[in-house]
Formats: sequence, C-alpha cells, structure tokens
Amino acid sequence: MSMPMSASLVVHSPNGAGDDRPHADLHRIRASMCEHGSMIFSVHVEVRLRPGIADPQGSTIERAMPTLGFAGVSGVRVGKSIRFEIDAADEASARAEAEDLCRRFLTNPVIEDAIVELEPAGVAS
Amino acid sequence: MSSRVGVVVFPGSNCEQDMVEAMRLVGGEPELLWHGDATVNGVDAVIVPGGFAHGDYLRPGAIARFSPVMSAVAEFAAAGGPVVGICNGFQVLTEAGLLPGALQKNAGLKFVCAPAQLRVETTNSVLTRAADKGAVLSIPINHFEGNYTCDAETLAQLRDEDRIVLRYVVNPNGSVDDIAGVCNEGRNVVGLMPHPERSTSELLGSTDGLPLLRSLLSV
Repeated sequence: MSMPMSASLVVHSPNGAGDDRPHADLHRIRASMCEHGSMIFSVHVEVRLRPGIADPQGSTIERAMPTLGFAGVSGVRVGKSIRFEIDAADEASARAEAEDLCRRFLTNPVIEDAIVELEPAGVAS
Repeated sequence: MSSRVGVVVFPGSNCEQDMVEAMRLVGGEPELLWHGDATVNGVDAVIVPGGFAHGDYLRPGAIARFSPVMSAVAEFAAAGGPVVGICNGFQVLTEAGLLPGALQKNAGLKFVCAPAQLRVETTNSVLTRAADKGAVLSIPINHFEGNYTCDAETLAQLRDEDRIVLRYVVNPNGSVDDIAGVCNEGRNVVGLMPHPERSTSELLGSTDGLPLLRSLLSV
C-alpha cells in the first residue's frame, strides 16, 4: 500500500502536519516577530528508543504482522509523539528550550532520544 | 532500638499501607511522607513504595521524580540515609538518577503477577545485610514495566562493584542479567521490582520478605 502523494506532502509541510497555510503567512509571522519581539512556536517531539535498546512493543507488533498477511515488514519500533507550543524570542531559543525539556523530562536518556521539529505558529500576545 | 521509617505517598501510590503494616510487624515506626512536602521529616530510612505514581503518565516515575519530597529524598540519600524503592518506587529512583539503568515494558508485553524466586547476591546493602548470601527468597512480583535495562558499561560496573543485590532464579520479564534489584555506589540506595512487604506472613504464602525489611531497620 502506498500513501497518496498529497498526504505525504502535507505531513512534510514546513508549516507542520495538517497546516496548509501558504508560506506567505509564515513570512508575515516572522516579520511581525521582529516588530513584537516574542513569538509562538509549534513544537513536535518524536520520542524514540535509542538504537540497540530492545523494544518489546515493536517486536510484539512485528510478530503479529505475518498473521495479518503483512509478510515483508521488519524493524518495527514504537515511540511517542508529543506536541506543544513555546513562547520564545526567536527560533534558536525556542529550540534550545525544547531540547532541554526533552533531555530533562520528555525522554529518559538511558533508553530514549528525541527528534524536535519546530515551526513558527504566531505572534505572542 | 526502633527506627522511624518514612513511606512516601504520591498520588497513585497503592502499596504504602501494606508497607506501613509490614514495617510495624518487624518493629519499625512507620510514617507516611506526602509527596508535596519537601522533607523526609527526620526519619531514619525512606521507602518509595509501589503503585502508579501520577498515573505512570509519560513514563513510570517520570513525573514523580519532580515531586518536592524527591529533592529531600535525594539529599537524604546523598548523606548516606537508607532509601529503598520497590516496584514503582524503583522506577522513580531510576528516573531521579539515584540508581542507574531504566525499567522497560516486560518482554512479551506480559503483565506478571506471581511469586518469584530471588537469589540474594550480596549482603552488602541496606536491604540485604540481615539476609543470607545465596539464599533463595520467594517474594511476589506485580508489574508491567520491570524489565531492567542498562548499557554494557553500566552492567559491567554493577557486576564488578557487587551492586546487583537480587537476581531472579527464572527471569520473568526480560531483565538484563536476570536483575531484580540493584544498589548505588554508596550501597544505601536499593531498588527492586519484587514486593517484600507482601511476603511477611504465612497467610500471604511467604515470610521471606522479613529479613529484607529487618535489614532496613538494622542500619
């Protein structure tokens, strides 16, 4: 089964999943960030088990697949998806805060790491 | 001499009253320590009991470790005070960085509630000093996330420093090296998945938890 091309484009949109605003909006947001000094970033964190860490959920799902007729699927890994917003002066400081949050709370660094995706979402009121 | 033993209560803890009863039985003076108070109230030992602190949201122990009482527990542990985490309490202590490693979902995604045979691997810890080395204890386990894991370097260190306190005779959950309980470098902080407070009477099927609980009082 293959995903429709358009769905794939939405997921990878620079505005974030499901956000189909034209890029002009983002430019406008960025411009007004310069005027107002504070901005809201929409953050998506994907928490993953680190490579080499056994994944009991992933392997159980993988073992169930042949019984459903999916014979060629392998390497199943289960993670978590967490979304939130950060109010920050700029993208670099928003990213630094999100990464600190991941390191100290959202992941257990013994077994997990995280991928942080971040997009401007508006001007802070 | 009687020892005052503080039993930490988080929202979602559910083994604290069992532990209070068990500590009374072995002659301790148990008292509850509320998670929102940043003090251990001058007790002689601290137990972080089992349950589902803060609903186990995000990860077991991930939110509990930020409770005000945990900074007091960390301070108490750093000063050499005996601290034992049982089941969810073990998870809290690993999340808080007071013990190495982490506890993952059981191999096979199986919730295990059954008596487990445990071998006492060292008597050099606050939880085993009144037990016999090599003794096999029958103590129940009751968990979904008790699969102990750590990196190879940490495992080698735990072995070399005799810090694997208890091992399962038959591995029930996929834990690396059959580990059921470990201690910190100072040997005053111990975490284990099995519940010694549930092995305190023949009516419960075993009294093998008693030497462990007595160990805590003899420190």
